[in-house]
Amino acid sequence: MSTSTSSVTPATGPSVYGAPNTKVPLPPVTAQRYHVVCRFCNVSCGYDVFVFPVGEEGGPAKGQNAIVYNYIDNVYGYNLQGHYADYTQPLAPLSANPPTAIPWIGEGMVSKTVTYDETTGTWRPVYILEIPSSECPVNEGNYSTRGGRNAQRIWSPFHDNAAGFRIYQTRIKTPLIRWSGQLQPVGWSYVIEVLAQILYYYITNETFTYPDPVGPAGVEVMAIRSDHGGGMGGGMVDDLMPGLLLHTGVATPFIRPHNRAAFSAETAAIFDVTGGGFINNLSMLDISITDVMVMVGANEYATATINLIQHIFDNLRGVTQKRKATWFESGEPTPPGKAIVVDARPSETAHAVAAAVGCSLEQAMNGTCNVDSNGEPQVLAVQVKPGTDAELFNAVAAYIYYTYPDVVNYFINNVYQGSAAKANGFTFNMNNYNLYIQYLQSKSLSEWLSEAEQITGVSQNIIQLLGDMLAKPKMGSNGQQYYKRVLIEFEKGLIWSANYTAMHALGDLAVIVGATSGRPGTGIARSFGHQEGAAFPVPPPPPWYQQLGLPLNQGRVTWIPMSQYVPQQLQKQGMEVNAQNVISFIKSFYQNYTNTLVPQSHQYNPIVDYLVYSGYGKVLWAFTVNTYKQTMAGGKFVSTTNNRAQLLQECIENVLSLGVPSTSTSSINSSSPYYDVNSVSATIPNFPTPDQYAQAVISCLSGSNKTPGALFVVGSDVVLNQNGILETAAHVIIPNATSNGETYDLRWNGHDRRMRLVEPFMPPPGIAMPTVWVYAMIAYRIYQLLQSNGMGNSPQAQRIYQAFNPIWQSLTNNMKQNSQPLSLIPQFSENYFDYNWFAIYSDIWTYYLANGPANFSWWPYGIAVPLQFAPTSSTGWASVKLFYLMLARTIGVQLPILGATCSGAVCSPSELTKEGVMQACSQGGTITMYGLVNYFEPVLQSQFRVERITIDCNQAVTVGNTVLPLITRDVIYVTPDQVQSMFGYSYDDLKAAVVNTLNPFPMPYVGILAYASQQQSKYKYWVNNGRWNIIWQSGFVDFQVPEIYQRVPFAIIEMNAQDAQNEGLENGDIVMLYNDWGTLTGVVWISNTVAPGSLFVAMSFPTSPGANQLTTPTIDPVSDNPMYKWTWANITKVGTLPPEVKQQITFAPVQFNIPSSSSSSSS
Amino acid sequence: MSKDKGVDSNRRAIILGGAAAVAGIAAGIVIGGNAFPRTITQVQPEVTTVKQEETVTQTATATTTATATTTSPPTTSQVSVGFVRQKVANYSQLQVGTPVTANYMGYTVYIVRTGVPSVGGVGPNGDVVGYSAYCAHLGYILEYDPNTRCLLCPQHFSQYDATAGGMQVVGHPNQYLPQLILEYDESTGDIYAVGFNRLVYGTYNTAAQAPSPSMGES
Repeated sequence: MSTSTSSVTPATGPSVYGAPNTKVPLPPVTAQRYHVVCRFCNVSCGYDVFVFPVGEEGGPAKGQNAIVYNYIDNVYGYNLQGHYADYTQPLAPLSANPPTAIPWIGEGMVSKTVTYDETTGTWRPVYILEIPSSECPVNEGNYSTRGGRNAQRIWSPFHDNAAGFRIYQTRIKTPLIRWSGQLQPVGWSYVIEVLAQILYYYITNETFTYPDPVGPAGVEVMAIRSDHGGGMGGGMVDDLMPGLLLHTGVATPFIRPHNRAAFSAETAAIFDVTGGGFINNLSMLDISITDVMVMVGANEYATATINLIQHIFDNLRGVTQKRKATWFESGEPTPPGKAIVVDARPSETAHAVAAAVGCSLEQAMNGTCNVDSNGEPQVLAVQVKPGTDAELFNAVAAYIYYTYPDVVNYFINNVYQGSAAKANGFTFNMNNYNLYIQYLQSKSLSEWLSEAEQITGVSQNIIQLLGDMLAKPKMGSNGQQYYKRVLIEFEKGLIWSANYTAMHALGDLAVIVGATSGRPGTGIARSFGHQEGAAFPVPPPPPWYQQLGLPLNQGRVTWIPMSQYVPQQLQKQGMEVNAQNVISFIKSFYQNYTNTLVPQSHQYNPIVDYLVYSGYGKVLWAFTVNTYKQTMAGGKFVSTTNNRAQLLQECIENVLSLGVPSTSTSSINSSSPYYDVNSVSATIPNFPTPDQYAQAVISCLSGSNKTPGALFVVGSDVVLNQNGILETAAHVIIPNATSNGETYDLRWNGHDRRMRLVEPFMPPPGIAMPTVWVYAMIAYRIYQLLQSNGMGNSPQAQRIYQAFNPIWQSLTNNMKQNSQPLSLIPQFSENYFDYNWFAIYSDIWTYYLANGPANFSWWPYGIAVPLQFAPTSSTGWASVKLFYLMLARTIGVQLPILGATCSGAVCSPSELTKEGVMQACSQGGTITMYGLVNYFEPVLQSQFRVERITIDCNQAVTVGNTVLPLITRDVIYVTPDQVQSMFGYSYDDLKAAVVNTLNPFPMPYVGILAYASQQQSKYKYWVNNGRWNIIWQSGFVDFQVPEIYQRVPFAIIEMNAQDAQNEGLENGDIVMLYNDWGTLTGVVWISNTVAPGSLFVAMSFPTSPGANQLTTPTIDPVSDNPMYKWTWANITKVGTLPPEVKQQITFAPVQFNIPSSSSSSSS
Repeated sequence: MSKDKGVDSNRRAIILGGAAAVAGIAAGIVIGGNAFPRTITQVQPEVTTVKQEETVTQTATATTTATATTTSPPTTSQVSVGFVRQKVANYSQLQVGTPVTANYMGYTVYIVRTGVPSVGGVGPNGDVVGYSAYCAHLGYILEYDPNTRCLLCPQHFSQYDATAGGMQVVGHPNQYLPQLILEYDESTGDIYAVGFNRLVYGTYNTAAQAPSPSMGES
């Protein structure tokens, strides 16, 4: 054995001789176990969380560790009843997937931190593992690069946990007030008093009076707030709280969500086509069995990863063929699925989907990927020119109508107007459908094809192949033909692009190819960005509705429904309602926007950013958002808001005159003492009391020191650093507990509408509190101020009381002790541990969510709880108690909940705590919950699928102190006449809550609009923008994680190789992009996921803004949505990365195909 | 290529031996020939004569209620585990862009000359690197692409840059790819591995669970 060291060259790089062995602790059976869903994307994978003391690790053999499952999935076909993980041998590949179901615990899944032991009153070090759940049907043990690092977003005081330590440093741990150039910590009483006084002022002054019961409303208050699954992960309860305070308590009309500038409906067009808010209408089961999976402007590899790599790949690779046979007609062919990727660039998804079936990207793009006996490829990647999708969909529809009229007529006549649909009372708008067909027939097929080729850049051959894949029937071996089952998911490539027109054209196409037919394997839905889970009272409409002749007490017009509006306007002008006039009207409507730059939608649904630029408003409330990175024309928004916030700060600190000479400065040069003594001697104010501070703010905004343009900015969030609105603008900052581990919440996912309860598994850092408490206390204090000023019976007091009293009561009833009375309101404790949070959330679930609409009937604009369904106070959602969801672990139930039953001891826990619930289950009983599988099915088909979740405590498995009931998932068929007996309400009740009408309407391509078209004519490169799979949203919990930071340490600009060559640019060059709306500096990465003539820039980078430095304030004038995807910029080189930095980061191009090599070498 | 999820017993063979099994799984894979000399052994951590030692104490867990399938809890014992120094290749075997499949302590690894100076690289050009052959996402066997100098997973398409320390280009892993820490003996051209820098897929204690913990030198 040669050990001569003199000739040995050690490795370079981050190595240490004799590497320390890497190991992760296995959870012992005594670990505390919690169930959550991921912090990140719309797929909402299930994660099991284990918390155990450092030093008490478990062992690898079965029964020595806590990785135990107790679940039977009869839909996907796996049985994990009483399943114990065995880690004694290194795991085989894919062991996390059932049936092996042993998840490998990687480094990203482990955190070491502290938690608080309430019995002993001490903090102790623990390991927390956040492990993808093999039993969860969403992910089946799979995970993305985001979710696999969930544990690294847990705060930790240990500096050998680099990620956790940095998270801890960046978390907001106390309320903060900006003073003397710092953000200074204050207590809860201080910040609650300040905010209450200021909000009190603005609901009693400078108000606009709405009809009773709303009364005087705080119209000087504006809010940017995540409305569902936002920055913190969010969820129904977290996001309900600012809604209660601002939409109802303050009653301001000027609300916008986290990702767009107005309170708009991103998918208004699909609402119009389907007659309601049915944008999440299918299921992962449908995705896994569809014949044709269409992804439009949805880069699911990055944005819905597990949906793609688990369910879509299973379909394309033939894994689900048996499953298809269960749901398809007898004799119907069940080949591996096909995929169509429509995008403006060759995204990672296009690459991956092609490679998954053994094709190159080129084959996928030229239609030669795995061509079958029908002449159809298995994967087709269609690249369109930016914003031209409407033209593509209309051309494909025309091709289908001309080529497969029988297929179209089958859906129109035999499905939408077929016997089942007629019997169930489905309505199909034939008038509008006929207009649509008139439009398709207004050009010959060859005219359509050549026009579309010219506009979209897609060749005629590919357009036709696309139509064949969607509509050409399958041939069975029995000689019979079967209609294709088509499923469409679309996302921001459409939503932030041509939005209404393109989406409507897609919806129309979906109708004629039967994606809306309600058959298993069909649907048309968003892919989504983040998870869902919203509940909020709808805010009042803007005060100027009076001038528009619209009522002030009936809600707001959120978009212009064109299929009603256009015929109406034509008739007013005495014109015939035919396709030609409709199309021409729509085109000139949009052209008018480009000419005037005034989107008609704003008058109905105000664009809050426009108000900020206009100098409007006195208070801006930013709830868990990073608008500095995530709004259109972000640089301009930053500059404007900073300026306005600074005007206020200078005024309240009374520093406006500092450094400004009051007399001529020439005397300084000419006379002793050669400086201005009074300037030097002027002191600055002491840190104010809450009263002084609040009054100073009010005075500077509206009183004797009124400063035009000044704006008071409140931030309510979890992470401070890298959020410019907090770091540079906010005057007051509230620390929130995150609904990822520190408080309960409810979320549901895209693709499946599966709702889960997420459980807290550690305390929030510092004195951060759940929003339930924070907003309830602010509201309580405002209520006290109203009472003490003789306004206890005012409309303002009444609406605050109605909105919050159930929460005040629940906090009071479920306060175990009052160990730290909030000095401002001493009957409430400010100690997180004094509350029984599960009981409080149970009350909130029952009052505001399960029965929300009924309990908010006093509020004229209603409460929006998407997918809520409770025909009576004991049915639908209202038949579910929150602890049912606790016992349902990561499996949950699909929404809408159709019904639930409970029998046995489990139904009556002695106390509403996790321990009490498990104890009740350990004594036996069964809970059954029913959810809907597909929204199109109940009224279009003679029977519809229902998911049944059975929670059987009689077959529970106990691991340590954790009781795991046996959960079984089935999908059964239910007929309309079974609804009453199964669920306790009528079929008509259900019908009203699902798709019961279809309304196609012609919608043309209208070109690039307004500010965007100005940039297009001035600047060279189209700046496409979207997500990286490793970055989540603004990157607010990414920059702290070393491996993520290393991968994306600065802004990276992806370029096409040909463009880079033409510009003389190489990997690692530093470039500046610029246009009329801002500049962005970043590093070049030559990537083959970018189309020529364009760039790809992430919407945000962890340590820098991204594409929004360049996006424009262009808004869809029909739907009020920002058109972020449409911006153009020039590029100029400003430098190059130093070599030592360049070496640290990868510039390898994305490439999922390897040319096969015949050479090999032996060792 | 279809994935048969019901059968996974032969996938275990991929990790622990059998070039034929590997070749049968994926076309285009570039592998070495006889790189699997050792038989599978039970994990029995034992004291070995290695340069670095690390003591691991396994304590008895306080087991409370467990159902019928409980096995006896681990007993306290002192075991020493660590990585060993093991020859994995010789420089003369390596051509730029063609990886060699080797076995380090029973774990399948790839040794490759990337052709450019690389993080963690050894050899006259600093371009010899070694990595675990199992994807750090769900453990599927990787393939090397000499055009991009990356290790690619054909299952879900994670891509790791072999010149940048196993950093993910894109993909789904929860950590970067484990890299071998290598030494190069100029006089003989022998390349030794002395450990992994990250947790290897499928293990919770990479050194202790090594299928062939003490390999010695060939």
